[in-house]
Amino acid sequence: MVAARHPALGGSPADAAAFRAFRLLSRVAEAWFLAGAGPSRPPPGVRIFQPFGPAEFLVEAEAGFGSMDLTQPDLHLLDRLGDLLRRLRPELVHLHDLAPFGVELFALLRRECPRARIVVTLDAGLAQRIGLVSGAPEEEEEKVPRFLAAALLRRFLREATVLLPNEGLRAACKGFGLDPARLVVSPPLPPEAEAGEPPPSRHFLVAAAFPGPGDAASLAAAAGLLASLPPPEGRRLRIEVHGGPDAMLEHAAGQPGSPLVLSSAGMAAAHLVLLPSRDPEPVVAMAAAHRRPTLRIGSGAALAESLMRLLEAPGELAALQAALAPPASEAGAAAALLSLYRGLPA
Amino acid sequence: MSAFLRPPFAQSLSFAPRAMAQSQSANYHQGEDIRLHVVIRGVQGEPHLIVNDFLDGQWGEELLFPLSATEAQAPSVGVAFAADGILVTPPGGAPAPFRPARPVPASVVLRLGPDIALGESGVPALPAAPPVPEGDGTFDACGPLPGTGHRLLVLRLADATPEAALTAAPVPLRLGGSGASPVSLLAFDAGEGQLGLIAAVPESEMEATGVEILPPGLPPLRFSPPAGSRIAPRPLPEDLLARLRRHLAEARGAGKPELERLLQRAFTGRSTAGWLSSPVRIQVARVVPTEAGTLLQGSFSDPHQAVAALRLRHGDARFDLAWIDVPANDGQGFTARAPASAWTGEAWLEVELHSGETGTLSLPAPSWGLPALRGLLEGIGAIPAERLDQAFDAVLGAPLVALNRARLAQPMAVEERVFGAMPDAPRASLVIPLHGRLDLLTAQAALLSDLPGDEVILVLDDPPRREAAVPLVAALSRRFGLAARLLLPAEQRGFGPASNLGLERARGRVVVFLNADAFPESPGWLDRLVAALDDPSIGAAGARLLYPDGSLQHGGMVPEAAADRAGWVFPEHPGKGLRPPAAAPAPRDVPALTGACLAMRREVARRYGGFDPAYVIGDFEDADLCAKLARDGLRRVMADTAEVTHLERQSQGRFAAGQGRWNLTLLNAWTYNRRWHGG
Repeated sequence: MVAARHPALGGSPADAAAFRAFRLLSRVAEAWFLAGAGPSRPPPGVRIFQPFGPAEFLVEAEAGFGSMDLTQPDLHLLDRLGDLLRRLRPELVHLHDLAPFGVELFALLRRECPRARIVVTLDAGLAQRIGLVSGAPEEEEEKVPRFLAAALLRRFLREATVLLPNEGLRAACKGFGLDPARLVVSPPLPPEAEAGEPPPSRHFLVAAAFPGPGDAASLAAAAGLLASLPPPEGRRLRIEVHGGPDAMLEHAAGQPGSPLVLSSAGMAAAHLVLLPSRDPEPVVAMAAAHRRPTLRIGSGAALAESLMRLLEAPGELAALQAALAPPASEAGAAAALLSLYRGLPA
Repeated sequence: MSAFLRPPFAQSLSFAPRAMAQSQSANYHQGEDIRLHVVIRGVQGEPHLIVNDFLDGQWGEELLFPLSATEAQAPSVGVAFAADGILVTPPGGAPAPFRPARPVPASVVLRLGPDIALGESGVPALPAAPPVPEGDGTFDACGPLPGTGHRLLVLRLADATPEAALTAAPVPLRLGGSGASPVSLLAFDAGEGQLGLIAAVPESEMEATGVEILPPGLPPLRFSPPAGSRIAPRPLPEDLLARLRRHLAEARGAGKPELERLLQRAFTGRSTAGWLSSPVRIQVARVVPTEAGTLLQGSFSDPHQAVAALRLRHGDARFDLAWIDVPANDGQGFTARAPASAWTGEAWLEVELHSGETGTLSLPAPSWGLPALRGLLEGIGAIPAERLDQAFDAVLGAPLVALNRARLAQPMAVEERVFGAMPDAPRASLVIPLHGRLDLLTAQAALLSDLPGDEVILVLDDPPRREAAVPLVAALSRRFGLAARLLLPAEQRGFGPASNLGLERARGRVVVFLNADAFPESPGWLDRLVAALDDPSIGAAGARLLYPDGSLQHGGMVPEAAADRAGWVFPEHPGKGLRPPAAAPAPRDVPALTGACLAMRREVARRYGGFDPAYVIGDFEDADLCAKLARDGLRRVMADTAEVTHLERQSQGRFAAGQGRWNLTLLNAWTYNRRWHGG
């Protein structure tokens, strides 16, 4: 498993997913985790070290990764990676991020491990890059560098099987020039999370993760409607928003009686999870891991009505939770992952 | 004060004592020229009315009227801009025409010294007949011949009888109060039975107050300045020679060759063009000798159309120039060709005026090679379509082609570096000239890194980039596993010769000429090109070239006459910029293919010598090669299913934009058209 940074050093959700996959796979196969170590200004030279375990390799290199064209021109780093790959001889390499090793890692794999299958998870960043390259009009002076970056990416993604989080991305990938036979839809792994009851609270906690612009408008509208309604039997509604700053939400949260709170204690404390309209798959997976029911945000009025109904009828919420499928066991998830890998095209 | 005046008008200028003491003047401006400058001041201690002008940045001293003490007390000068000329009336004198040969301006601006009073006046009438001067004739003019050490005297004798005695041999002549020296005289008809005489005398301090000629066996002849003048009029040299032009051509006398030699100024190696009587401005920025003639380029201005001929002078040889006068960057450019083959050493430009005067201009050191070629092409400026044939047939075409041929004929070292493991017997050799941009190479190298059975030959046609290119290719080889040979010629030679260099070293059965801005992304593109060439009737195969947005850039070329380019034939790309049509499943015949991605069997490519180096830098060599294949019955086909993204002209680097680039295209178009499309 290849990630941008080890989660222990503060990686992204993609890094966490990679590490989770590594942990799962380690149960059923020989697996290694390879990630950048950061920090952003490392000392000169290249260092590969293992502070967290014998199968976890951290790579510390000088800043050289090109975020525009996803390249890594550091030849010393590539040499060291080549040495490592020759030693490990992986049969399958799953890239969850192209940073910090760049598209050069594909070429390195082809040279050092020519039989290894390469799998790439199309995360939001990569998907956006593909969409940008193939879609929106560009400024004249941007055309050549964008084309060059796209050509590089296309060249090496063709060497890989690309895992798509949802079916909707397939068309964009085909439009970008990827082989349809190498596009596989595979929802994200459920994150490692302990399913359990939310802690007792007088509040009905709703978590809204990463709302997009349209979602923010609906949340603000719903908050306005809910603020004017008296809470039934003393139970208070609290909608915790996890995401970036948003002026509309900040304004709505500042109104008297507003249930909006622009900070989040996480899903484990929530009774219900609101799904963003864009890229909901990671949130769905996270909610499933915590065994929390989900609700699409939709329009402001509909959201307010749904939340008020669940607030007034706690039994309905309990029924929703009871209907959720039990979380997969670690062994089951590992077997499913191995099965996925074995089913991928050679 | 100043006033805007429209001729005809007449006025009087009254000079107060302070105006004379301070040399205040009355100036009649026309644009940057002063058409009439009137001042009263002392000359050799005596008060004089001075009338002259300032034209094209030079003062001309024309009329000088001595004033008596009485006249100088409160002098009033009449000035008239009449319909047929400018008249100046000195105090107590008759009206005198000022520069009668020049047209009167439509308007002037008068600027007047503060102590000069302006008054009304009527336009005076010229005397019906010129006043008769004292003596035997009139001393009509005295003007310098710059750079010769002589000045010209123009005399008029009422009686033409003594012509033979005056012109058969030098006769003693006394100017002003000087001693008599023998001088050759030329005679011409001055009208109304009068005899005009021209003499060239050495420069001296003597004033032109009069001339005395002492013909042997005859009484002395005395010539005085026109009535009212103490000295003879001193026109500008250009005006004097313009006035005498016809007379000089018809002049009679034994001294004519001597005067002509004087006018032509003995060649001394000095730059004497600045001494010409007419304000000819000529600068030569570039001199390029070639086997097909010498090209000169610079700027030229001849506001009075005084120049009769321009010649290149090298040693004792003189060569007439074929000339194109085109707007250059600074507005007045020229490029000219002299039929002088390659030479070394110093050379001069010789300027001959209609008056017979000549001057020389020392030329800059000759330049050769690519810098000369670039400089010439950029300096030519925009050539109007209707003059393309003349410009390239008479002036530019052959010398530029010869210049290019000469630079390519020079021996050149070529170093080769090999990066990565090359295949022993490559199927195809991809030959890619690099020039200008190297940033394109990363993506291209990545795309070509999955061709283990083929060889990539990079030719750095840009020696200054060597220090950047060598480590870049080395790094790309390690980053992407690219195996490549990097050829490092010592000079830039252009797309065709650089491609030919790769062809010489190629080992593949097939050679693919590929631009550095062409990105083969479609799987199997090379397989399809190679497969097409299995058919021996096919001489060349091309890939379909697309822009990054998927629109068509090249699907075969068709020669078409361009009405807005003198009817010259240019290879055009039908459907360019449009959505590509459905790809033909099999190779499709086309008239011609672009060299941006052109595949040939190596033996065929070598049989034709690759791209013809007659085409300079890059353009039309592909159409030429296809024309040769067509002539020999070999097919040119498009393999539509082999797709390559082409950024087009991104690989041409520093010579990519501007008039120079277009002139280069025109040069190659000229070569192509003269070779393949009937003269």
